[in-house]
Amino acid sequence: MNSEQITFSLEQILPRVQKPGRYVGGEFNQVQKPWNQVDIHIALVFPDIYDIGLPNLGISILYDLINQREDALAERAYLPWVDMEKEMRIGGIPLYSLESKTPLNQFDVIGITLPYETLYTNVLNALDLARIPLLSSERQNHHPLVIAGGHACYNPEPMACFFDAMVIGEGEEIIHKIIDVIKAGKRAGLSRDEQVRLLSKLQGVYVPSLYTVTYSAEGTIESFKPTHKDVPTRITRQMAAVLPPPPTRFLVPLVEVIQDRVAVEIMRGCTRGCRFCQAGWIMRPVRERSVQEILAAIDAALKATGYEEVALLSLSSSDYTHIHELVKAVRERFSGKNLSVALPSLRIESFSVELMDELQKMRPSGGFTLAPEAATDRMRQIINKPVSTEQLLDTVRTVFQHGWTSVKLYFMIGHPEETIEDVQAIVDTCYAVLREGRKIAGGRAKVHAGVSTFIPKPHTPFQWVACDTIEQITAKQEILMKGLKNPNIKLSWVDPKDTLLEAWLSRGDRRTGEVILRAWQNGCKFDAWSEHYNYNAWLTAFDSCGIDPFKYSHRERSLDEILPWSHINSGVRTSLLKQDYLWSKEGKTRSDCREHCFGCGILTEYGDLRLSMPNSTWQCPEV
Amino acid sequence: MNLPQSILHRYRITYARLEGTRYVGNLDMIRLWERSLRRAELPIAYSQGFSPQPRMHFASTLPVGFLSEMELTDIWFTSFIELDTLKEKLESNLPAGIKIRQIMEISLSTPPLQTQVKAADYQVEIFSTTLEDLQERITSLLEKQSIHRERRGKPYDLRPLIFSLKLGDTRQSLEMTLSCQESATGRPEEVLSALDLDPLAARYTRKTLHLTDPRGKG
Repeated sequence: MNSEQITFSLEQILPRVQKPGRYVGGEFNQVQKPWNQVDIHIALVFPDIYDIGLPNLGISILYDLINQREDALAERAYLPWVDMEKEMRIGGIPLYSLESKTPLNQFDVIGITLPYETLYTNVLNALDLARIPLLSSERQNHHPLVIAGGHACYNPEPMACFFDAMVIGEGEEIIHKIIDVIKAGKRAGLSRDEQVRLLSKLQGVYVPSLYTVTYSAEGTIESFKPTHKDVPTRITRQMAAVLPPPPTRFLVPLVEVIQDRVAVEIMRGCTRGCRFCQAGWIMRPVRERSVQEILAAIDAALKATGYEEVALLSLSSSDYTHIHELVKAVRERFSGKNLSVALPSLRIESFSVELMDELQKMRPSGGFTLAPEAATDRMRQIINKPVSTEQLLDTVRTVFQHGWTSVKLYFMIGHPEETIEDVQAIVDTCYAVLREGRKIAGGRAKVHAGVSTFIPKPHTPFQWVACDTIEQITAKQEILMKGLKNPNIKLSWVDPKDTLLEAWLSRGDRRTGEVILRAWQNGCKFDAWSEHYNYNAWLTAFDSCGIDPFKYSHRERSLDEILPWSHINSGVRTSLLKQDYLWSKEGKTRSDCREHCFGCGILTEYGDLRLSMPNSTWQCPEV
Repeated sequence: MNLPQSILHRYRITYARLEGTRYVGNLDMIRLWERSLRRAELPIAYSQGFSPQPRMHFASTLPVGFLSEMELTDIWFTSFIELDTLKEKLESNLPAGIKIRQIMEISLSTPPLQTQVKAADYQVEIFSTTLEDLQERITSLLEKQSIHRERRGKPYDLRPLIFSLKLGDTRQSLEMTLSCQESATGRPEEVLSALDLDPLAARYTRKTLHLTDPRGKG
């Protein structure tokens, strides 16, 4: 089908599906370039439905950067919901781009973002709908290059066989280098193999087909080697020394999506070193944007979009050096304009009454969220989030005093060395918070406990530890459910079967690829949607590949074994992760590294980069 | 509104909805207009309360999937805007699927737009194969005294809501005028169903909104 035929067919089938506005594009700020006037055509894919994918900041950034180039265009595609997929398959409509309704297999590059692991089967479904062979090894020269990016790529192995290349790290600079290489290769008539070989020379680009893995009799990795001498043994993540200007011409959807607002990243990275937090370890160093740059971006974005909400994003907003100045300036500049401002990710301990005063003036909506993550001092030392219960209660008191009546608390169960007492303490803490609320807000005070389950993520100090079993998780959740039966306390938790799938997919190795393929063949898709997730189909898929999934989730790994992601270099030294893990067993904490450099490896790995930017805003102390 | 009436200005905007906004529902249209007005930095008059809403009236909900050559929206501003300036600002800030046809300032005391609409003309292009007997089906439908139908579980009579119904220029299209009042809205898909045609296999275009009864019954 060509784009006219697709447009014609869409008119026939869209009346039969829910929310057809998802499938036609036409957003304000959409970029549509004449196909023949550019050299390189890139389809950016978020492998879930439009409503979830449209606000994705990574795609927004790449869309903007690529379309600023004269020689390239970027268009978008999302996964159709099941009703639309059925109509597309019946009608023979391939997955197409929203802008020009071009079938995806006509593009030079398909860029798929993998922000989390439960999207993996959707990637296969997208490729299948696009009529692109699922396995990289089966693609011919005329097929697009299929490239992944996003945080899940920090363990690229489970999806390695489906991608021609995977980008490790930040996309803003590498995207241009990738386009340049592909453009030159296309002009020179290079084959696929020659193209990916050249891409593998770029820092941060991993080409899975250029590596071989062998396994020991016990099933652990014995060796992981490049197939050629000029292919790097380790792939060092790509990182921008200075954050490039944030995007401001956001796509404004015509139909409702989640997080429908302007998003401005105020800083990237975090210096706290919570041991469970992958983002905190893989996004170092901390790079801040100036207050002026942020204000200008908000201003430009509001003019370009007309949005009525702005979110100021980072991993830990209250750690942003100029947070007071920023919040005050935002309020002064935009007050009276019916604008609401969201400032998520506030830390309990770096939070002042002045900041609370400012936030209160900015149309606070709904509840106030804090993330203690654990409820006993011992547990918080183990995970290196050493806030005290007193600090938490002090902050909560201030929150209620400022007029909020509902507080949301994020906790995790399943941390290493967690006991039943630590879980019971979550219950006690929720009641202590509710009591503080009642003193101030009376009967209106509400507590919402969001309790997720810990998964040891790659590239963190906990990467060697085992997950709790379903039985352990269930027992802990029962304590919470029984303990938190109160009309003013709401509890939400994660189904242990969801947790396990995420654990298998984030801790898996190359052999997991076949399992993902089987699972998709067994009908798995939309695994992040509870109504579609099929645990038993996954177990069947593992079984048919002769792999025990519980070995991925419940086996404590030895400190000297080759991990599936050992060839990915986040910039942080493995020896530091090991030391930090051993410290956790001793209950030893590590302070914020803005105060004292622990030599995590970033300054060594990216020393040249820092030297080349004498005025860079890295928040690392001088060493 | 706590603003004195004297500083408010009310504008009636007539526009077409093209392919680009064909699948936008009613709530999404309200948000689409608000964001377009905000981009244009026009002095929107907001309602009071915890979550202020822009003061706007829409004539009649256009079903998802319909095109339209005539939609009406009233918008209140807190200051006077030259009509040409307003048109220009709207044109550069509305999405491609909306085309402004006319703008005029109207009296603040004009009754709510949704109460003024009486009827609507529709053109319906039918996708299915040529229907030799379509004229006969129309004739026999119109001869009926009542057409009992059910919508969302509620029975109603479609017949009095059909003011006129005829074949279009081609045998593949219909032209109809249907009642379009808040309590008595005729839906063209229902007319197709009553003609035993697949209501999903058609392209609907609203051609006109009538603010006076087209049958001359005021």
